[in-house]
Amino acid sequence: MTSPAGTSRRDMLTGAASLGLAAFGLTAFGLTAALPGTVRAAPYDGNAWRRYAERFLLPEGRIVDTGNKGISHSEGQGYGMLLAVAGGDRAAFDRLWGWTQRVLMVRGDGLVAWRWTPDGGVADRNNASDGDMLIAWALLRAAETWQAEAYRTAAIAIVKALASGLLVEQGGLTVVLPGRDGFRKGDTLVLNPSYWIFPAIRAFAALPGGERWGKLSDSGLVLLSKARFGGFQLPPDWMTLDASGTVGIAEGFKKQYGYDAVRVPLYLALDGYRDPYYFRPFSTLAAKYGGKAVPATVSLPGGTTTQVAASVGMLAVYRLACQLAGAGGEAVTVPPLAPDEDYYSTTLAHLSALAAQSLGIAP
Amino acid sequence: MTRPVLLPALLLAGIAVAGGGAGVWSSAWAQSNGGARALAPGVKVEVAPAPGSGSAPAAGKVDETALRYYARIGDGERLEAEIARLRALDPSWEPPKDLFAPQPTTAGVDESPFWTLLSAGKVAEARAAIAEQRRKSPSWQPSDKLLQELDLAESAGRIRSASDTKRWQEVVDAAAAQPEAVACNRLDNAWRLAEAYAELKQADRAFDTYKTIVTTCPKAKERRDTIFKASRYLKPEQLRELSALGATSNPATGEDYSSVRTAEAELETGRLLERLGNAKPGALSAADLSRVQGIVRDKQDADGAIALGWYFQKQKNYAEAQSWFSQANGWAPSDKAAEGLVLAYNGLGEKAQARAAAEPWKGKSSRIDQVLKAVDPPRGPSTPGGGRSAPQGPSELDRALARHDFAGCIAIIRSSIERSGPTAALLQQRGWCLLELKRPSEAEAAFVEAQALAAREPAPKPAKGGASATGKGSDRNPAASGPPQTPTREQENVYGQAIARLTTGDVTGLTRDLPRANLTPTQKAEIRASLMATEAGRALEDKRYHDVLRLLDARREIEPEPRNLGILRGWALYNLMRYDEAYAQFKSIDDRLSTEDSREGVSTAWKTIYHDW
Amino acid sequence: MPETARRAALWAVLAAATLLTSGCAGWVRDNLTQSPTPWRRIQPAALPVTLGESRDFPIVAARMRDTGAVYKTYNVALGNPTTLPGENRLTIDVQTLPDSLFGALVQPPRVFPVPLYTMETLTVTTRREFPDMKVKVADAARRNRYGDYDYATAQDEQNTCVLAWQLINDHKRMLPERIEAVRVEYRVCGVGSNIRALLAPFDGMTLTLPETILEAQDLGGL
Repeated sequence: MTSPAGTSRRDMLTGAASLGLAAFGLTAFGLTAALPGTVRAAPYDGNAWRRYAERFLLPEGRIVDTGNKGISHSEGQGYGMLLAVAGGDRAAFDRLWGWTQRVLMVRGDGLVAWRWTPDGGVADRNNASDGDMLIAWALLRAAETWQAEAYRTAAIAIVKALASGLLVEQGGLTVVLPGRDGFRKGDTLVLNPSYWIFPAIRAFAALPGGERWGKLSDSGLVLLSKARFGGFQLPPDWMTLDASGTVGIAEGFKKQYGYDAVRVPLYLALDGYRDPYYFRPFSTLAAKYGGKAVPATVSLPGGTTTQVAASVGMLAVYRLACQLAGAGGEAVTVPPLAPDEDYYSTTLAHLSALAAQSLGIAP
Repeated sequence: MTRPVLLPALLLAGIAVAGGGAGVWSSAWAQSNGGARALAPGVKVEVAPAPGSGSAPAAGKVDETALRYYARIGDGERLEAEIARLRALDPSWEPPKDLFAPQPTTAGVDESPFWTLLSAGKVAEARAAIAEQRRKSPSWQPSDKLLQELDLAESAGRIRSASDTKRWQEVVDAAAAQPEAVACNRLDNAWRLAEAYAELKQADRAFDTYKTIVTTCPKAKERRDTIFKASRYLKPEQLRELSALGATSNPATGEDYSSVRTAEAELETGRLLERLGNAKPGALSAADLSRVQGIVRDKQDADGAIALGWYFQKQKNYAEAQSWFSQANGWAPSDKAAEGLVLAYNGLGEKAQARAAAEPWKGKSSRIDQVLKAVDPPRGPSTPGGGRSAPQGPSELDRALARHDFAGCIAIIRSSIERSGPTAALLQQRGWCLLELKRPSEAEAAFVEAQALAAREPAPKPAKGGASATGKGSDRNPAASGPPQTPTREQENVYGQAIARLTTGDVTGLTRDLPRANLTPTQKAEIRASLMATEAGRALEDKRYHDVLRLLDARREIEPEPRNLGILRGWALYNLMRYDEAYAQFKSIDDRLSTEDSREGVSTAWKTIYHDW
Repeated sequence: MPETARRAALWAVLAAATLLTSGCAGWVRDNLTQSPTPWRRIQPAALPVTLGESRDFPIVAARMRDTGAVYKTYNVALGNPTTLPGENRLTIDVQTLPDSLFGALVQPPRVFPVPLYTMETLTVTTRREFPDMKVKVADAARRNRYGDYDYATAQDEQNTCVLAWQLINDHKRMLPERIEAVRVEYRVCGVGSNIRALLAPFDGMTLTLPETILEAQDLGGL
């Protein structure tokens, strides 16, 4: 299944990882550029970035969530910055980072306020850990790509703030709280499996003093093995972890697998994981629906599905999962992005393409 | 990787259709689970613990990883089974002598860390480590055996959690996805599967699953436990069939199946005894009744005898009742047995006998003091004749009390009060009857009223004036030293109020008032014991297990521990991870009279100790 | 829009949690606050309910207990003119909104289920409350000052019993801001067969919580 070219790319990736460098950087962003000949087609490239920027990047430097009343948030800024680095557009990157610093980094603790609305400005000062992680990771990527130490310094500041305020030990595991405030109910934590952005965590672990991030990564895999519910054995969008290390589906949130947790296989793939065990729940779900009208959410543990179908970007994630689970990528039909495809779907589609490239299974 | 089609899968497909297939199915099941009988005789393993003392012969040909895993976790049965399996694959193969030494396996990756995690029950951690390894070495693949064991462990976990959360269809689905997870050496999973079928109203499949277990799993204890498990779902005749099958099918040498044969009868007895308490007269068939009697006699089960006594007492068959209460008192003397005995004699009109039966407990047990009132009723103005213990038959009220007819008690007292006004004695008796009817608030009020009235009544005589007829009336003065002290009427009223408050859950208030309450030392001790029992129950709910033991220990100084508190003690020990003690505790209760509660304790503790979930 | 749904749901919860925990850095684990306190006696005058004078069903005792900072449960034992087992009673559970940041995060499990009864749980309850009696669930609801309520009846040769239950959770019109819900349950047995007489105290009951609960009649539109 793996082409010879793919194999060699994997080997180089492994080598890079063992040197303690950010694996994702060298492959998806670095290698693609360095070894254009080995890539048959580049589904995500400078052109893709320009189209993305035209649709979602406003002149002042914010990514607009078109599916959500034109608001902006730290997650969007992070995704935008990552895609800008991968698209080689430093000017756009600077605009994004500038707006993020200026408008969202108003908490005073180095973390990013998560939500901004056109009417009210910063609407919620709490942070969202995945947004912080994406931004810091994009900064590290930028520092490497453009050899700019300032980005790296800024990234380290965010990583340190995250480590001191959001990393927590519980039940023998190191976990990341979804936000600085809230998420503790008694001695039980509320966690979000899709906040384990494995390639970002690996990049943070490679920084001086980054050992706890290494543990976070290990714990993430353990949690993803434990947090399997319902007939498809899917992770919930929101889960609990009690002091004894037992996981559950969080109360007070929608008890479902859905828009959040769909990113779990994406982030695993982006970090070079390829153990079919971790991708099988998603491929099983996709296969059940013939790889087409996959439901956007599945209630857990009951298994009730919505009428709403998965977006193009989500289908792209499912194709990736099927390939890694050994079910074959052809099991899922991914239509082209629509002209009015929304921000989240488009972002997932591009990141899936990057992951497939980095694993050598693209297109 | 293809797996052999395992016959357990048939179970899920509904083997009920294929009546004749059961034999084949059974033997294959036992075999696939490493049942000892499936092994070739004379298989022996030599184990040299020192690592590196020899190299594995035929390395590379035979996959020994699972073998080493079983050796490491000390699972002798599966170790032998695996040896037999490998021998069958390659007759020239010999088991390695260095089973405990870590071995590098395929492609330069040492699988032993994963096996170690797995054997420590850290399945998720093993999965994580494997994924990490595969990320680092994309060309490496874990061995099929390792993946299979992981799948098995996970399926077992899935079956467990689905059944814990009553998602029965998922239990069936998970078992279907991994039929090997349902087997004799994973008996708990098999039980859960059967339970799931039963809950899904697929009675035939539930029965077939239980039947498969009792006919294939070799251990007598497991077969017996299975019958107890099945009792929740199966009809008596099905249980009888299970018992018979379990006692005879596929016997393993060295196992004694007699306990399997009796399981159904014991179960029936336990159930009948539990029902006896509220049974209407004649509710039990003669056959049922004689079976219960037989077993109670065989086991010299005092609690069972008391239950039988009450059964007959309610039918006004006082002679039969008397004989069972006597029997119970002979096997294990208790105030409960004496209470019944007193009332049975009273029903027979043998008052002297009744008093004699009460004698050992008089003044020590409120239960007995209370019941003595039926023998020698406290007299007030309302008592017909009014005079001093004129010889007479038991009054209407006495008879109601002797029948445990508390509604009758209330009605009689009410009409008596309507006729000739209240007396302290009547109100007090009303309090006791209300308590029996689980109306403690009104009971408390009745005792308060009785107390107020008693204060106005002229010269309250000692509460049990009539009791002097029992002879030995040397000292009736409550103020005199030396136990036991007979409570005054006021003390009786205060005591009644305390019991009522206890029943309504007014623990805090009662604890506060107890030291100042006018009670005899015996009464006070009894209330204290009850308060401690209530506190212990609360402590268990709050997960303060040390407190539970502390309270129960203190309580046990005052009076013997009843069954339900014994069970409570068992769970406290269990939750403190003192599993051996918990098991012993549950077992000793279960051995006396097996009920659902005691069985659950025994089986849970047993499974925890022996990792047999 | 699916994303909208995702965002809205998620961050609404988060925002609430954020508000309530800010400044609550040191976490003290306190399991005990979540289990009910023991019952304590209170004077009938301290009850948040007034029942009409009744010869058959006088107040015998009143008790209350707390569960966490959120629930207060009142149990009023009433006289029982029959010889049947079991206390006549009125039970009131008042669920308040937590008044502390802390209380919002550590809410005890609800002390009553919603819906209050299913056919199964009702069967279990009536069998326990009224053993050996003929039980019938009323087809139509009745109405008291606080709106509609449902009830079941049980009868034998001499006596009749009723079990009535009611959940008051109309925030828009009836309940004060601080009160999330009130559950009332009434269980009474009496001599004879007059169901209406048995229900009379429940029909006439007035809740007297610190903040006024508007009565259904007050609200013209109901």
